[in-house]
Amino acid sequence: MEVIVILFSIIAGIMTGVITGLIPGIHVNTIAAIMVSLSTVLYGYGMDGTSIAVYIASVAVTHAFFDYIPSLFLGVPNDEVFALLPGHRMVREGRGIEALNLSIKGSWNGVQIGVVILIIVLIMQSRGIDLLGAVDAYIRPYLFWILLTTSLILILSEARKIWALLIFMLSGLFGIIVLGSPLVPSTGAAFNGLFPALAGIFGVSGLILSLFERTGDFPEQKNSTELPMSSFGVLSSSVRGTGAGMAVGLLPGLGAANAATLLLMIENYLGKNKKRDTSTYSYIVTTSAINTSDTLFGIAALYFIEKTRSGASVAMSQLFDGTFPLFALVAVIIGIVISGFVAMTVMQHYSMYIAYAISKLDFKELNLAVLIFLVLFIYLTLGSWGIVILMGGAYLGLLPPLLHVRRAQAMGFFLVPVMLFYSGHQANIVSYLHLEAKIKYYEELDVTKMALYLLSSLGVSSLMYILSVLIKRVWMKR
Amino acid sequence: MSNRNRSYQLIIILILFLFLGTSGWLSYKNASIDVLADHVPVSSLNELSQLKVGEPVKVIGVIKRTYISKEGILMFTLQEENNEVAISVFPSFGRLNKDFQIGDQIQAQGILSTYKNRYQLQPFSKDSIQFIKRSLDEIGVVQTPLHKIDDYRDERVIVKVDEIHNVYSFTSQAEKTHLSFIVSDGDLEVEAIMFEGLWSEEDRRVLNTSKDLYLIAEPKKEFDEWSLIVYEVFDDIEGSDLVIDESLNQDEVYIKLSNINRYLGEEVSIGPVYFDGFEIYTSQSGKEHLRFNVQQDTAIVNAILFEGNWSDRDLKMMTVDQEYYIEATVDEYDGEISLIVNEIKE
Repeated sequence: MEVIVILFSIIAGIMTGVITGLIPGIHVNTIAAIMVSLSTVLYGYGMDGTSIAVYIASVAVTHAFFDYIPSLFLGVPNDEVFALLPGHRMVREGRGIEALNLSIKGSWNGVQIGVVILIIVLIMQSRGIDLLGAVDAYIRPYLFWILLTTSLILILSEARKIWALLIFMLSGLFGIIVLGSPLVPSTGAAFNGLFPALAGIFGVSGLILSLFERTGDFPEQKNSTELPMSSFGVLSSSVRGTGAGMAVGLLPGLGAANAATLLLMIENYLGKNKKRDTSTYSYIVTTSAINTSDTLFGIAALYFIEKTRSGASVAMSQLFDGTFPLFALVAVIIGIVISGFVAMTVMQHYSMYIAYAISKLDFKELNLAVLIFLVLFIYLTLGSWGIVILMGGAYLGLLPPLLHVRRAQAMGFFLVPVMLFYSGHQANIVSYLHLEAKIKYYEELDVTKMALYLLSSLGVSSLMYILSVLIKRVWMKR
Repeated sequence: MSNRNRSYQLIIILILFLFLGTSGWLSYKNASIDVLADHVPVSSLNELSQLKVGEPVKVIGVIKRTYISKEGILMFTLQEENNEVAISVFPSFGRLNKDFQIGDQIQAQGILSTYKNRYQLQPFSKDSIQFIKRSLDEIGVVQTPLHKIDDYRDERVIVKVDEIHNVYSFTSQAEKTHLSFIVSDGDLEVEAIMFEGLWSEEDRRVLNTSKDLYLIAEPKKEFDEWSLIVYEVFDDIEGSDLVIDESLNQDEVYIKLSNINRYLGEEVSIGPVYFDGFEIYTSQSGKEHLRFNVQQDTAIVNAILFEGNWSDRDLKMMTVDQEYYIEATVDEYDGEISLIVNEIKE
């Protein structure tokens, strides 16, 4: 019975992950938060903590595969735009499917190599060698310095260092304010300040900018199953990506974007990316491997070092009362492998059709609909203060692209509070700045209300999409 | 500068100001919002199991244990009988209004949660932990000189020491940094340790620079050697609010029945004890004495109340199975330790 429930969780997770991955602006953390708040109801339907954890992990890994599709095919800027993203360049050359194939390969390699590493670590642990625990204990006293050095490297690598530093510090300030805010439920709740803040910084800001971007005509894409780089090249990029994903998965505060930037800097320093094409291919494989392995190790950290390192692992920790049993970890790993395999197969076989279908969507209208969905859903779940946080996050998220600084600098939102914590002086500093955290009690949303909010937000945003597309077409005919 | 560049810069400045305005507004509202829940009734720690996890609670209790992590997470454990709740105060709450210590009675408001099957209370803010009074007596902490710590093996006591030396920190195999030192009182020297999480640099400074210190500590005996696990250090007993209940000061320390052989010929207070097998015995001189057994845990000692020292009230006490405290002189009779009881107290 339990196996059937877990298989059901994997299938449901894959389906959800495909949807969340294909819709820009929807994050895995939102789904994880919904699942935790729904857990009490789901227990009544035969699901337990393990099956819900498997569902969340399946969503997360499938999402990591599929979210490359909208970022690749939606809103490709025209040639006048100075800096095209590596994938966008290939789409403009009609080689979008090749880019997608590279991403699929990198993502799947990230899962495979990550799982092999985890199995080795598990075997070592069964023989009394707690490798990850020992590494965690060894580096913990130096975490402040590690994070500070990493942040400084990332800031100093920017062409506009002062602006990068300003955005990093402002993000940190915003992080301290939001994470300690009693105006919305605290981070222990399913829906808390993180949701509007992250949606604002990384979602809404991008959606707003895309509404004003001039997109080019969508070039015809050549169907190809070939990879534009050697198998060895793909493998070595995947190994590097998995290593980097493992590092950021286990370290606090850092994200996949930071890891990708650092890795690219190291590769450039070592002179590995002399050719522009090779650099582009390697970047796509590496970042894709980072995404899936970060997801995997973020969850594994909960078992091996009893630390939450991602939204998914926070949700799982809440499901298991602060612990994470071995059985759950094994089930989650199996779920991730199956979901990854299914996601890879689906993408390999249907990527051409998905890319075609997505390219036919009205990009700006879709982005507007997602924007409406986020604003409405946040207002319904977190009230007007949720909207204020969303606006603050959106303003902050607009600054990096406008100032030509990497958006990863906004990870200061997590990094600065985490560094403050590991500095051992957080209490004195927040008291000095009068930024002391507070918590207020809010009643947890009940399932009926949440379903109503979700459906009404989806309904309104879908209606808005259809209406805006119809108006646009009527207007164009005239 | 072109008009396009100028409007671009204006947009950036506008967004920057909008962000700063929003953050400032949030920060101001954060500081001014009242998070305390006045309508929440005070719950006893014994009632926690009847409360719902995730709901706001208000508890009053005495701090039994404290812990501070390297990162500054403070953990107070309030205990009542077998029930306890841990209050975790993250450094993001800022500096606490008071340096809370073992024995402080506090009122805490927050959200009840569980972590690894133990109750935790996440306080609403630093102001939601309020000091009520210092009540070391409620956790049964008594004061003892260093040379009498063997009466309190594995019990928490306040130990007065004259001098401290050899203070150094070391890292254990488990990568924990502990503080080791030697306490002395006259010729007597005992090794002491403060485990990671229990000591701060301020404690190290006090240990290195002050004399006549008071320690809240647990005497331990291993391989015939006494040592102390120290929980707190005070150099200024007045300033630290370390007010000890008069009934529990050094003059009225209740010693254990199993330890009375160390006090031969001395008058001591013993308790709590039970009485058993009493009889009225008439001596050769015709006086009526009350003979009985005094019992504490597994120790049983013969005792006597001489005529004139006992009354019907004492006789009644012998028949009621409850805890009593006695004042007695430790004596030796026929090679066995016995007690000449002067007074029985409830």
